[in-house]
Amino acid sequence: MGILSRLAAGILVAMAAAETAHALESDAFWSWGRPLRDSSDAINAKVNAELRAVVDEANAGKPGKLACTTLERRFMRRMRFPSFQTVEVWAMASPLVDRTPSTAEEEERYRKEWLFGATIPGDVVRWMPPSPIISIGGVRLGTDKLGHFFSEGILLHSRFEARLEQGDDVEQAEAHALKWSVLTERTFLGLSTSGVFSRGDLEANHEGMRFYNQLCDVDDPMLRIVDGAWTLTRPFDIRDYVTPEWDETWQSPIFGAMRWPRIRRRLETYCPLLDDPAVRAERERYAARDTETETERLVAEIVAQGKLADPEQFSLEHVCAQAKP
Amino acid sequence: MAVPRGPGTAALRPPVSRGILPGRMRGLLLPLLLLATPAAAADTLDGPSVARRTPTVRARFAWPQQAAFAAGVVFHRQPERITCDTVCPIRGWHLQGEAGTAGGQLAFGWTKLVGQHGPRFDVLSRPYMAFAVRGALLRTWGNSTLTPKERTFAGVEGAWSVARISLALSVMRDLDDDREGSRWLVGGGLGWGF
Repeated sequence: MGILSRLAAGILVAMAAAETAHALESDAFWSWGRPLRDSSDAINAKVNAELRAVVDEANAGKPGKLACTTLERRFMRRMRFPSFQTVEVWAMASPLVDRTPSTAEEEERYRKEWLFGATIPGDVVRWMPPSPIISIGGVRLGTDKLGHFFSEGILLHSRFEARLEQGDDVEQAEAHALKWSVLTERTFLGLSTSGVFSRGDLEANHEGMRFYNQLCDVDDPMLRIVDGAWTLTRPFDIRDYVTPEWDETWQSPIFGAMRWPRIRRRLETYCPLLDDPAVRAERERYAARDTETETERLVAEIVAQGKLADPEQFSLEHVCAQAKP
Repeated sequence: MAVPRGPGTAALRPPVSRGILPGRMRGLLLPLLLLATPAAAADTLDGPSVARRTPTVRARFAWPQQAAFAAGVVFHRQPERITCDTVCPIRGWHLQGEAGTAGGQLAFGWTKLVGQHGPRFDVLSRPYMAFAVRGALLRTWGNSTLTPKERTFAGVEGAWSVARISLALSVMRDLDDDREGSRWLVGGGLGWGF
């Protein structure tokens, strides 16, 4: 085998491995029965610190000569790290964020017990760390959702901007970005790689785009020149974006045929917890806040076309009803 | 005595690593490395940062070293309350030594990674995403297919690990000015770790 062949083989293996980088998954069911303090303030502090750093950097030079989109790009650069996103990694490590699992011992247990624990060793999902669960504004979610919000949100925002420049109105541009988001989740960021089409990921992607749109492109942008200096006109608040739809115990993912049998067996172990008073109370709170989102409407259309499996069959309630003798 | 792990027990934990350099060299090298580490590595939200040394390991098949094992240390700063027992980000300087059946390498350079210790040892055996650019010194020996077998090269290596799979590519030049033929060597390797 020549050097070039070896190199090509190496690159192919590395590219295959890179695909796994998008295979970060979480299991919010595992957090049931485990108390979690709200981490909204900590996440907000981190993001606002990053935004203020961009504003300070701009004001240290010649603020009048910078476009808002330049600050936007600088902020995006601070947010990105291939596969793992800055705030996501920070939330996985910072003592300011209450999460479960939070210690090495708990994490080893999580790796054994979580939804994806009953898979074969070569499963791409198991090559990466399971995302811990945090609580934001009363909603439990995996830290991978923060990665979707800040990282995929950038990609959707870019597509949104490109369509606006091509003459689309805001609604058309947003619809185009959402369709692209669904496409990525059906292919290289979801169903084709990890066997999971996460509707929670789509919600986070969409809200991430909304956040980036608000930095510069709205009537009242978050970044604006006031008295000759760039100013953060209002602080970022993650609670403005997180909804119960981000929680995959509430809005179940759609699983690929290969993955589903093993997931189903694990899901059945959570059935007794549906009667837990704390879980019931949380689901009642979710029901009161639940709305039909743009992504839900889009996914429903695709399901109706027969291109995606009906998500209802993957819900815990459905699985538990089927499992009853 | 078992040492408790987890948040709030940092003061009880043993040092992350005892290092691989003699004490006298460490005394000189560490302040230089940490001065050169960008201040951005310190995250004030999480409190004061401290100097850390995180060990790394890598096993791979490389050319021209062939089957090779590497051990290294990342010198970096990290908030005191954050450990790599769970997933952590690291930016710092990576010193790595490697020995193989056909050669050995000493490399030093800048790295940025997300990873965590393995379940048993405080060694970064789970690099989930890591990049490094290093200067490297390579000496071939033993099973080397080069002619002559014992040659010394210096050059640059780019290393990338994702989901623990390690890929590296290096460009090196023979240090012997009198060497006949091409003095350039393009090397690389594929393996596990970082």
